[in-house]
Amino acid sequence: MTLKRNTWLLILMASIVFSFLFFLLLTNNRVEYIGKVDIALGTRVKVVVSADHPERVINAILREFHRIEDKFTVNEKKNDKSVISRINQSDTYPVVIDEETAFVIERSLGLAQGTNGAFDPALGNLIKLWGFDRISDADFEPDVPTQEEIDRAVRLSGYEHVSVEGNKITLENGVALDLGGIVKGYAIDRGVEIGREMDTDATGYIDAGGDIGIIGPKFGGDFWSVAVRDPEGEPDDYVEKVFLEKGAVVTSGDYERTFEIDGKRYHHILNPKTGRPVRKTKSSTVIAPNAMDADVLSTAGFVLGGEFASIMLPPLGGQGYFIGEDGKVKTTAGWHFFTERR
Amino acid sequence: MHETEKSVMRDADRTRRIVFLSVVVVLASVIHFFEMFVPPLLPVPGFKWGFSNFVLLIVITSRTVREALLVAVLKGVIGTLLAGRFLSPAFFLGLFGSISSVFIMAILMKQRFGLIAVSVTGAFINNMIQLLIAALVFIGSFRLFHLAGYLVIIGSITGFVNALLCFGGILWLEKTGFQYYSHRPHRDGRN
Amino acid sequence: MTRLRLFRVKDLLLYIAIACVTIGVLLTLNRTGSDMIIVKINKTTVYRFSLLEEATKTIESDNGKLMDVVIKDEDAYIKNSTCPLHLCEEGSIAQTGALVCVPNRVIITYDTDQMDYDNEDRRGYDLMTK
Repeated sequence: MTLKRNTWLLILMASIVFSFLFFLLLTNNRVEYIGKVDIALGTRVKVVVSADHPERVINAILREFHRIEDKFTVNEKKNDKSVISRINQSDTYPVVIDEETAFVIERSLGLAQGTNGAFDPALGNLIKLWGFDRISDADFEPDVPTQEEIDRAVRLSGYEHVSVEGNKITLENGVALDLGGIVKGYAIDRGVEIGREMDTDATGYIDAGGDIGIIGPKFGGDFWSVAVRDPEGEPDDYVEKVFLEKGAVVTSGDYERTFEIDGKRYHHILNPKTGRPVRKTKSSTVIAPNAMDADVLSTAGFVLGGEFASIMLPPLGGQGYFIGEDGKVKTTAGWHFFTERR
Repeated sequence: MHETEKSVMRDADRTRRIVFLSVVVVLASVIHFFEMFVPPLLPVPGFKWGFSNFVLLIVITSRTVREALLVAVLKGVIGTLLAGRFLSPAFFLGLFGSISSVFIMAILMKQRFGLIAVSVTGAFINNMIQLLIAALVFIGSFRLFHLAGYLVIIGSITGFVNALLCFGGILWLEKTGFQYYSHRPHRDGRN
Repeated sequence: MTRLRLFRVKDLLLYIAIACVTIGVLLTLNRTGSDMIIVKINKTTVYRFSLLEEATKTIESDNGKLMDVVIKDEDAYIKNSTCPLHLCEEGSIAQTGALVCVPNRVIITYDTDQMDYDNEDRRGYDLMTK
């Protein structure tokens, strides 16, 4: 059909307007999340980011994880770049350390005091005895130590024998450091910091073996819904869901780094006093403003048990959800703030 | 006709050709230039909408295919040069896309299809070729073809708009009286 | 010269052809995405499998066999791994999003960069803490 000039003009205008609107609509939800999975700090690390150059951000975050792994883990067989190994193996004290190391160790000591030792960064000898520092190696051989060995290791542990003054650290009593309970949290915090430095509008999260740090809210304004794993069920069963747009959430469980011998399960969260895996808790989840605190407090909560944890953790900045070995659930007073989309 | 009259006619034709094609190339280049600053549709560097192609359609319907190809190449070169993106992925995608589009549209016009359908098909081919090259050369996998359906919709819109722009362009050119064509594309009672 | 028309009856042929080509492309060339998984050993992509073909694939490196990957019901999980604790054998890729064996340095993910951030509608949550 041929067209009269005016009708044609009308149709042209209309279609240009329409395509412009359509185009606006399309470019609005352009928020795309890119994710990558890597192995670091003995666990699976997943970084999900929406930013101007997501790949660059993700790679920078993963590089930081590897740097922290090299610096702060105690697996002597693997590397000699570890500052912690150097401190542990030194013949004389005090040992000079850098600012970052001093920061992390001081923070762990502060939290050790705050939790009355439920979290203890100086259990190196105990952890080494059980082998939990090598548990992610291909040649790990699970073994249960004797009572004497355990007692001896307990004697050679304890944060009270560690002191930091400025840039110098002193270990007494033959204790050894193991920062496994705080290093993942620290790495997550550093990762979040790097992400935000590279792009102030970056959103997304870091998931390091189930320890979560939020980089930015979902789509720029919505909450991320984080499920708390059911310790007994299938890998995708959850007992609770929390909504976070910032901060961190970390869970310690008896199903994670564990080995079984003669039908008995031995997991990596040890009671600093008895030197044996804590039995009274199945899972301890803590939400805190940063991942370092959340990591420490979830370990502490596991060791303390739900009753004590629900009282002791909030003053330290953590809200928690604890499942006892009998299945009973205990939460801190402010936990419910997070279980709703507010 | 006298020999001299014929040669004068030929010179006149040539002049008109140069004038027309120059204007057309400038127009297409400018549109192409602006298209580069619009956010890309695909998560691929350099993917274009294709509004600059209505110009090609005008040249196809009123002049030769060879000239249309020339315009296609020139608009890509000039447009990207102006934007500082010469020889970028955008350049190659746009180039191959519009050249393929020209061939298809020329064939279809010859086969007497309707203008809208020709334009839509031209846009479709343009987008598909861009998708193919982006997938093979730049990305290295066929992951992009997820977006094929989405592209067809975009292509239809640009195709439709381009057809109208072409039609309007021809009407306008007729009105000016300027003999822009090498063969008359449009004859109704008024001409 | 004939009239320059906007629409002729034979246009329908073109529209149908376009539709067919698009459908054809979507069906065949769309072989990547969430029906393909890739297996990386030590950061290098070594295997690529389709989740649509049921099979048990063996993952090997220079050190010998590392594990089996069982593909069934458009899902995949690890079996017979040589790692000491077999933590990687728990769950499937549909449940956890990625299968990772830390001691063997194996990472198995869907062959797509884009993450399904809208998991909440599908699974009930975006991510899980454990």
